[in-house]
Amino acid sequence: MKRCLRGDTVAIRELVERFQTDVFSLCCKLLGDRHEAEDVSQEVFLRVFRSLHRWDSARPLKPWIVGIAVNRCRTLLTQRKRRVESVDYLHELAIERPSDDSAELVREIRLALADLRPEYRSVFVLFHEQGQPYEFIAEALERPVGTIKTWLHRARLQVLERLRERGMVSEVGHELP
Amino acid sequence: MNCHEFDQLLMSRLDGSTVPLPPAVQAHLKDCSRCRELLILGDRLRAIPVATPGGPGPGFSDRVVLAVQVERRRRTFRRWAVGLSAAAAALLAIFAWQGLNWPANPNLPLAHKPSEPRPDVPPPSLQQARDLGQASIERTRLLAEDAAKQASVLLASTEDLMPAQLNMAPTPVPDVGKSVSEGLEPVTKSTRRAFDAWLNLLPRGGDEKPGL
Repeated sequence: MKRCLRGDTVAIRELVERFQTDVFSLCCKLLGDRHEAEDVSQEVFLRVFRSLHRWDSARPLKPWIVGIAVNRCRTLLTQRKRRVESVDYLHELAIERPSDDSAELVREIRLALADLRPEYRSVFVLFHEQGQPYEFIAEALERPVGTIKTWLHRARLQVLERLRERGMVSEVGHELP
Repeated sequence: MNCHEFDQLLMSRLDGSTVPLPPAVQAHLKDCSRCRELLILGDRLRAIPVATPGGPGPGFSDRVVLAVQVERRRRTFRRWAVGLSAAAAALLAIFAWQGLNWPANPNLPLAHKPSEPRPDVPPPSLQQARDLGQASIERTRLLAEDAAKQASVLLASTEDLMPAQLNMAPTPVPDVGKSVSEGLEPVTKSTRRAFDAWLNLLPRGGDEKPGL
């Protein structure tokens, strides 16, 4: 971090390469567009290095960077206010998936997320698609864990209701536990 | 069991709980299609593996490093520019303050004090030139008067020459010379007398005999 603050190019490159996949992946899922996600990711790292001197070294670095990425995406989504198209990486996922209807389900989830409030969407993506625990999300978004749970609860219900309305329920072969 | 209680249970399942559904929930699910469908969708959602869309395009880190360097240089330049502008503004303010307070300082040299009303006196060089010009005019006037007197005397002694000139009659050159010499004779005679008188005033010595 000290080398980055001094403007050491090698250190800056190392930090970018260490977090670029996480940041880009998150931006891609939140924004739904690879090109836009790449632009925002670059902006996120610029902001990271711009405010690196304000970072509290007692805190973990990754949630801080993820928080910046979520804020940038939220700002962009608020400005954009448009429906997110199905992202191209979902096609890659569909090819990799053994299940036939998983890709369609993911696509429907994506459309459902587009209608959510930005903070609900962020929490949903971080938990279900990035696999981050509550504590990490709370740290990144600088909110109490209870708030994160509430947001996620509402986000899940809205997504599931949306999937139900879209007829994504297939009771065939599904047995109650 | 109601739908709200079921939602709480569903959330814990989505959080990763693997506890089997209690009989009360199963009884509720048989009667409530909404909760049954949500449970099915929840289980499908939970089964979707965490997927990543991969990393950014090639050269991403290079672009970020370049952008960081450019921004760093720009910020440094801006800091310098702001500092220099502030210094220039401070210097201007100091000069302006000095200028405003200049007359109030009694220790300053007299030349820098505010100008008092002065009499409209032309510069000395101009006055001298004017005096010189006046003296030249006076001198010229005196010389002209002397010349006029001499000319009037000269003309008065050559009355016989004037009619010949006026009549434009051809006059023989020797006669003209004679007339001129006769006309100038009073002048030459008086000059000779004046010169002799001046020589007589000089102290005499030995065999020398003054006179022309």
